[in-house]
Amino acid sequence: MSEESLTNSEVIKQVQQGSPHAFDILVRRYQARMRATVAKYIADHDDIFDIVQDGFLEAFRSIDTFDPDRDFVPWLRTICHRRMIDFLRQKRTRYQAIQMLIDKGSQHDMVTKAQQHDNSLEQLQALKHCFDQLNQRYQDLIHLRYRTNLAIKDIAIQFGQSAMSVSSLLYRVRTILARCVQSQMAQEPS
Amino acid sequence: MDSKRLNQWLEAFRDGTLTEAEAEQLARLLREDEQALAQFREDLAFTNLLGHLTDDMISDDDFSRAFWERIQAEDSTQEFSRRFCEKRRQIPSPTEPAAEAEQWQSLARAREHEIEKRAQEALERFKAEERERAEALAYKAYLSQRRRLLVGAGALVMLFAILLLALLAPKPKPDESTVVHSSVPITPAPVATIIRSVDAQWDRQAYSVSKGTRLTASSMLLQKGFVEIAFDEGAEVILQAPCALRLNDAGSMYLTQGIISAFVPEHALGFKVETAAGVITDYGTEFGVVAHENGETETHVYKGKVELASPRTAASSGYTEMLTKGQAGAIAATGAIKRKPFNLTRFVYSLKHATRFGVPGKRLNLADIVGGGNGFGTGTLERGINPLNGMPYTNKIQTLGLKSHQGTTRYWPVPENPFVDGVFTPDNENGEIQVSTEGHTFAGFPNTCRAFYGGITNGSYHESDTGNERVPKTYLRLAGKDYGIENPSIYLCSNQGITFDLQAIRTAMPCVTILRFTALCGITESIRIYTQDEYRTDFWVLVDGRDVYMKQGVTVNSPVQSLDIELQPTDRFLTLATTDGGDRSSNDWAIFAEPVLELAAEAGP
Repeated sequence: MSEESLTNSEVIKQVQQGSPHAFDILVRRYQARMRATVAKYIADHDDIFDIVQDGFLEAFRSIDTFDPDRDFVPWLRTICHRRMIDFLRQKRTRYQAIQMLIDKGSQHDMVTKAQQHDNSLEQLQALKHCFDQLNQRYQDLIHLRYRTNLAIKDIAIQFGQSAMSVSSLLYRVRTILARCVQSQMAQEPS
Repeated sequence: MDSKRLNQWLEAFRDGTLTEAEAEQLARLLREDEQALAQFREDLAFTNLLGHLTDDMISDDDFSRAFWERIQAEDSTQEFSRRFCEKRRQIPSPTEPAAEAEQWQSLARAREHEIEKRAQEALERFKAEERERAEALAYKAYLSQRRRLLVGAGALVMLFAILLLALLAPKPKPDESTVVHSSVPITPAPVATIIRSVDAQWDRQAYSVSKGTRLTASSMLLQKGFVEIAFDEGAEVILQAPCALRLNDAGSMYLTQGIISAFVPEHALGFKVETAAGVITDYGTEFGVVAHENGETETHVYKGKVELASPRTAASSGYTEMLTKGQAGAIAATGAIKRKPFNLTRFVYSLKHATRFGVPGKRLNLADIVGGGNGFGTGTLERGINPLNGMPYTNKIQTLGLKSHQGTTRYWPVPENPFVDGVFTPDNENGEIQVSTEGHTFAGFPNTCRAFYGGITNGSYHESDTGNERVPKTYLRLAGKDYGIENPSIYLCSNQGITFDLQAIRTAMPCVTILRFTALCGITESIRIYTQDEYRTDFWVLVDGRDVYMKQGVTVNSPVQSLDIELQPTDRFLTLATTDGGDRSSNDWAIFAEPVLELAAEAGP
């Protein structure tokens, strides 16, 4: 039987019966999805990698306590979410009150979304597709602002515009992208 | 809800440029309008995703390789971890079903077997290296002898005489002060010497921490205090408990977990600190290293240059980065290297800084933390935190006798200080007041005038040379003892509160339990220089928003109050506060003297 055809339950039973390396099937099967989920809440690429690695590690270390007949993915997602919440708690910001409200929402997600299908990976893939459709100027704008985290005022200097105009332009481009993603997702139901 | 305005706030939130008023407006909106909160969170998540569009794709292979490498690395350090902190052993509790317990034990046995196997392999490698080293030394000695032979026949006779003496002389006894930590049959050579220690204790109490003790190339665990060692090649390193390490040879060490500070003179250039994440190579410098429990390694350079290098892994192809004075960087467990904000206060880089109040693994000095330190003497006296905005004072300040400030009922987080959660002005106007960022509140404070003098500082003094008031520099004083230089204290004039984050402290000091908070409190006797009148102050201590100590109406003539508050492992926040006793805050020069958290290092098995 090929690895692809094994169910999660069968893989977990193998791990529990003394084949720890069978866990690799689960790592490969879900790492991209877990990273996409965490990417919604965390900006730094390395931090996401660490959080998801920590999540898989915790799952691996406690796999013996897991009932193989239960659904593995919500359990793994809950672990990753918990790691993420711990990370966010440690990372204090100037705007603690606002951050607390956002974190509370993330905790709520953790409880509700853990049981549902999470389409973050599909959303990220659709977003990549939509981004590629943008003109070069808009792509540069998104890259400078959200990838290199350049401040609005610095982008304004580069674009020769006011900070207010850059902020409005970003809003417009984000709206275009959000609509495109929505339409993509509607075409390709997960 | 105005979407464009929310967008502007979102971008300003990301940039950290929201004004105070805007931040308050936004927080209120998000609190009161669920739809706005949902929109804001969704937009924030979307912007985060946009930041990952051009990420280099991590393949399943890369991720999987990094994962198994990490498991392997963790397993190989498991023996250290087991001795370092017993709690990490996942021993089943007696209440667990027998089958599950058996499963756990079987897993534990399998892991122990694996560790033994690896230890045996390491021992074989070590023996082989020792043989090579011995051969190299013998060859060196042979060349040296040949040179001597060429000097002349006299030298030849002398050489024979020396060899003869060496053969006939009784074997010298091993140096009794040499510490041999390893149980392997080969006794490794000494590679370093203890040159200083403060309240130190190894995991095995029989081992010496005395000056002059020779240390062998072996593994060791420092449970309490500080030890400063000099490697035979010249590097000097301060170990801060809890610290697990191995001395490799006279010019390198392996830091399993903990904090060290290194001074490397020019002749010892090339000194290396290895960790699970990578290697730090010195280029003639002073630097600090933190090896975290999660495998990350941080390096902060006080002087000179060091190189960080991570091994080739799935996540990185072996990066190197040079750091110079005032720079800091971290090697993640994945091998990626990134810059960090430089922070000198985490390291005790001279044992002159180590006071008897702050002892790693034994006692944490909260006044030092208020002064921006790590609790072990790295903070600055007369520095502290502004209760009006939660920001640290950038200069030393004279707080006593300065003009009063009017506080608000708002709780101010202190993001700059990892161990202080926030500061506030106690009052009962709204019935209850927030005392932690986790939303703990307390309703027991009385109504106050909310005015306070100075700020929350690590010690304080008063000095005046104006007009009719000529007072020499005078420090805080309780029961005839001065506080502010040698003896620590937190100056907390009435109507101020400060909350310490116990969990952040526990995280920074793994395998250490916080047992209790102790302090003395009262009104500084130095106030008598200015007035003989009695002014009342109330002292409060809260744990997670519950009052565990309260003394109202304390005056300069009241006996000094002694606090001893037991803390539980689940307690998250410790709050100290003072209120004005109903007679406003003038002359309420209140202090918490010798404010410490008593610690206990968790014993190994």
